[in-house]
Amino acid sequence: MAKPLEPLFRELEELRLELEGRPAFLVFLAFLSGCGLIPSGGWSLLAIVPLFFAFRKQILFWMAGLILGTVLSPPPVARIQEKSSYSGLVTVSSVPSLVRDSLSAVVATPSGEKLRTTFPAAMVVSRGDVFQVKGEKIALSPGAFAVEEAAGRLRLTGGVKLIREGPAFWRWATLTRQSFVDFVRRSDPQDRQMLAAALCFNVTSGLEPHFYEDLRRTGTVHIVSTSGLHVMVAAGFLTLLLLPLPIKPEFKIGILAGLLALYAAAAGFRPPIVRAALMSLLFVGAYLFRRQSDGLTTLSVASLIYLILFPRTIQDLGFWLSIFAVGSLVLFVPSARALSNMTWREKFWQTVKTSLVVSLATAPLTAWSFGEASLIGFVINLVVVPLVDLAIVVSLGAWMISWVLPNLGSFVYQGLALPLLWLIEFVINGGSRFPLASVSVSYFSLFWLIPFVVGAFLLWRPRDRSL
Amino acid sequence: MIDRFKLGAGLVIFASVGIFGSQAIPWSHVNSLSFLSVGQGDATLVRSEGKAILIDGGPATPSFDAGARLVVPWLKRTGVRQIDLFVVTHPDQDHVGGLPGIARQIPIREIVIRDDFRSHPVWQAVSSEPALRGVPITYLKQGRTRKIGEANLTFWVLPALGTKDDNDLSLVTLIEIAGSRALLTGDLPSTGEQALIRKGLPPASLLKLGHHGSSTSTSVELLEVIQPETAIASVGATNNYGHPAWQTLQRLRRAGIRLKRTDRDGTLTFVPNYGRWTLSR
Repeated sequence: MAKPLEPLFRELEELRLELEGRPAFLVFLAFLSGCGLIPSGGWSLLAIVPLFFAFRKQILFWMAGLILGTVLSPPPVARIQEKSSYSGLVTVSSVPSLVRDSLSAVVATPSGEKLRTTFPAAMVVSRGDVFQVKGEKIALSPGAFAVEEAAGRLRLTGGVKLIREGPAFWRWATLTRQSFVDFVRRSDPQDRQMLAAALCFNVTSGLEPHFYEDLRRTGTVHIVSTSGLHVMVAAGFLTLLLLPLPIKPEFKIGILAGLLALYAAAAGFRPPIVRAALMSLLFVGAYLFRRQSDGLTTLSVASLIYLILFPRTIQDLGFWLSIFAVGSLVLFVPSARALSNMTWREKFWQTVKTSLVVSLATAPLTAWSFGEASLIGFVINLVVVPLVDLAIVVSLGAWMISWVLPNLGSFVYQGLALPLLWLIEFVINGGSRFPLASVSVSYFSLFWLIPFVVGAFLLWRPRDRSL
Repeated sequence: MIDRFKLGAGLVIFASVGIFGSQAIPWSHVNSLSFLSVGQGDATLVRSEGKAILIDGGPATPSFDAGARLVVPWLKRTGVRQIDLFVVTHPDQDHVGGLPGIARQIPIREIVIRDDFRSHPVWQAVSSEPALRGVPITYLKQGRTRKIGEANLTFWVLPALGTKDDNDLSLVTLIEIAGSRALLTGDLPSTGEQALIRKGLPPASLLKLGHHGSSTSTSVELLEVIQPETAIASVGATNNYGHPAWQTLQRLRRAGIRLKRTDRDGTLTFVPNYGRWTLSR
C-alpha cells in the first residue's frame, strides 16, 4: 500500500530538507500566519501544523516569526460611510502621486485616522509635511476598499496651509521626480508621450484611460506601476556605474543604498519598490563580498524587513504581486550562472518559459484585483519587458546627461527613448485588440491561493542556491 | 504512481478551477447578495465568508408564511445553517411576518431593529414568539456600522418625520462587500430619502427600490446621488398596489438604470465585482 507513495514521500523529504536550510523563509511563513491569527479567527494557525511537524529543528526561528506577526498584526480599518466635516492638522503619510491635475496622497489626522486626499498639482507636497486643512470626510470611491489603507476620503473645501515641512529626504525625492517629469515634457514638445514618466517614476497622469484598459487586457499594468522590475533595472544600471570606481565595497554598497532609497522614494516608496530595493542591496552585497546568495532567503528577508517596518503592507496588493512574481522567478528560473552557459536558442526558450511562469504566478492575484485575466499577457510581456528595460535605462541616462548638457540629453531622449516608447505603445495597443486578449473573472476567495502556492512549491525542482 | 510533480500540478489545477471558475460554481460564491422572491414583501440575504445576514423575512398571512415556505428552503439549499444577524427594517407584516417561521427552523444569533419600534404592537407580537425567545435584540437609537465576514453594514437611523407611518422610520442599510455597495431603504418615502442624502450617502451600484417601487419612494435626487447601475423591485406578481409604480419605472428609465424584478426574474443573486455587482445564476 505504501509502495506507490514511496517516491512521493522521498521527494517530499527532499523538499523539506531544502526548506529547512532556509530559516528566513520559515520565519516569513510563520510571520504571515501570526499576522492572520486574529483576522482569520485562529484559522491561520493551521499553517503552523506543517511547520511543527516538518521543521521542529527550526522551532525557535518560526516561533519568533509567529509571535512577531501576531504582535505586529495591523488592526482592521473602519470605513467611513457617513459625511462629516473636518478641520485641523493632517500629516502626509504617503509619497503623493501625480493623478491628472492633482496630487493624490494619504494623510493622517492627529488621531491616527488615514484619509485619501487630493492636493492641487501646483503645490509641492512631500511625505511628512504637516498641513492645516478644512474639508469633509466622505466614503471612498466604490471599488477602492479592497486595496485601500485609508478609511475614507478627505475632500478639501477650504484653504490648505503648510505648517511644517517634512524630512528633507522626501522633498529631494519629490524634486527628483519633478525634475524628470519636467525633462520629459521639455524633450517631447507634442506632449504626447508621458509613458517615460510612467515607466520610470510611476507618474501616470499623462496616460489616457483607454491605454490603461489596454495595459490591463494585455497583462502589462506592472510596467507603469514602477514595480520591482524597474528597481532591479535601476540597481543594475547604478551597479554598472559604480563597479569601476576604486573604492571599498562597503562604500559602493552605501552609495548604492542611498541612490536606491532616493529612487524608491521618488517613485512612490510603494511596497514592491522598497522590497525590490532591499533585495537588490542584498544581492549586490553578496556579490561584492563574494558570498553566495539564495533567492528564496533574500526574498524572505527583504519582505520581512519591510513587513516589520510597515505591517499594514501585508494588505497591499502590489506587495503580494511582487512577492508572487519574484517568488516564481526564484523558484523556476535557473541561476545566472546556468543562464550564461546556455546557447542563444536555449536562452530564448528560457525567456519564453520565464514570461509564462511569471504570468501564471501572478494571474490569480491580478484576476482578484482587476476582475480580469489576460490570456496573452505572457506573449506581450515577452516583447514588452525587454523594451521597457531598455527604455528605462535610456530615459534615465538621457535625463542624467541633461544635467550637464541639456540639449544632448533631449537629443538622446528623442532619438533613442521615444522610438522605444512608441514601440511599447504599439505592441500593447495591438495586443489589446485581440478578441480574446483577456477574460473577466468573478470575485473569489483568496483561500484558493493556498493550494495554488502549495502546488507551486511541489513543482519546484531546487537546482542551484544562487539566483 | 503519484509523484511530487503530479501532486503539485493537481493542486495548481484544482486551485485554478476554483479561482477562474468561481462564477460558474454557485456554491463557491464567498460573498453574495440575494433578493429572495417572496411575493409582495422583502427578504434579502447577504452572505459573506460563511456568515449569513438576513434583512427582513418576507410576508406572512394566515394562509401562507413566506418565511417558512420560501425563505427557509432557500437558506437550507444554499447551505445557511444559522443566521448571524437578522435586520428588521420596520415591523410591517410584509417585512417581518416571516421571521417567526424562519426562527423556528434556523437559529438566529442576533436581531437588529430601530429603538422606535420597541413597543410597536406587531413587533411585540412577533418578538414574543417562542422561537425568538432568548435571541439577543439590539435596539438602535442611532446609526452604527457592523462588520460581519467581509461585509460592512452601515445602519442609518433617520429622524422621525413627524408622521405615524412606520415606513418613515425604516432602518436604512448600506452593504459594502469588497468595494461593491448596495443600498436597501426598506419602505422609506422620498422625504426620508432627502434626510438620507443630507447625511452624505456614498454612491452604490445596486439599489433595492424603496417601498417595493412605490411612486412615493426612489426620488430623482436619490438616484442622482447614489448613481445605481441596477435597481431591484421586490414585488409580488400582479400585486394589488400596482408596484412598481409607472412613475418609478419612468425615473429609472430616464436615469438609464437597469431594473430587475423578483416577480418576473425570481430570486436574484449578485456577486461583488470590483465596485459593481454581477448578476449570478
